[in-house]
Amino acid sequence: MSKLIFANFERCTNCLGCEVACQRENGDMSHIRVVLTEDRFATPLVCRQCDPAPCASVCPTRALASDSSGVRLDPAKCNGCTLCVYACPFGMMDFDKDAKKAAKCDLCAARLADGREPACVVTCPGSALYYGDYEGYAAIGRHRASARILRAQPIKRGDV
Amino acid sequence: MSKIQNLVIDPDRCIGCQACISVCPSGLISSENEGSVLRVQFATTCSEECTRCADECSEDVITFMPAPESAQGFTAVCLDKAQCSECRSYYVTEKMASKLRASLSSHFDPDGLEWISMCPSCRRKAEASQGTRTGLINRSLLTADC
Repeated sequence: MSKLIFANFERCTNCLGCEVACQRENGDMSHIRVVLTEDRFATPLVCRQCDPAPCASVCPTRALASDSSGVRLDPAKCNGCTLCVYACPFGMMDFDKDAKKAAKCDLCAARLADGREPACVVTCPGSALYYGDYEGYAAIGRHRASARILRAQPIKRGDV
Repeated sequence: MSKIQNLVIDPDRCIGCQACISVCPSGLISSENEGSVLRVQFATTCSEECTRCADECSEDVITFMPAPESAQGFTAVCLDKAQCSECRSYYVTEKMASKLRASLSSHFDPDGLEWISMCPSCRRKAEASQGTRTGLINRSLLTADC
């Protein structure tokens, strides 16, 4: 199972730190977006690294390829046709107007090569973003839920 | 002396993806949005020995014709744009939308492709409101008296 960025909508406070961190990494273009709905729910949206990926399946130059590590974009092959932009079901494919090429979240490949986590994940002050596999993300959810129950009804050693 | 060539775009087969605009090194091809119409404009004469636009065109609609040196002119292809089903903005050409529908339905469930008729911004909003629905349920559980 490949590692992805998971977003916990419950913990996002709309601080937009992830967007700033992504811009810093990717030169003024953020590939993560926080969408505010009903004035109170902030939803961080980021590429889901679909497999099979609609963006990769419509790419005429095979600049986009989906493999176990995610959907990779090879800018050298991209002809800037924007088909992928309109093929993404989640609206998460970007177009770099200066380079005239598609641009997307690469899970901060350069940082990962150094052994560092993606910039948005390390920046998020509310721990709403998680980088890892689904099992790890689900384990954190279970841990948080049990901690919440324990806070409400503390169990002392020897109680049960 | 460099060759002068005549750029010809087949208006019936061009889908308006604008790959030619992205790759043209001299910026001879441009586009303009005029309401519900996308206008792809190109200088008919190109003085470079360059075929990048034709090479990169995924629909193979660009051809070159030798032109006399004096030939000048500007030609355009006008394409109808599709309207977003949510915000009613014109976001992509009709031909690109139908090409996407055709190529995606061979890989994905054709009944689940209704998002093609939404603009990317509305797709994000739809995704966010999906998250909001889950969030509202969780919040009501947390604040319930139990």
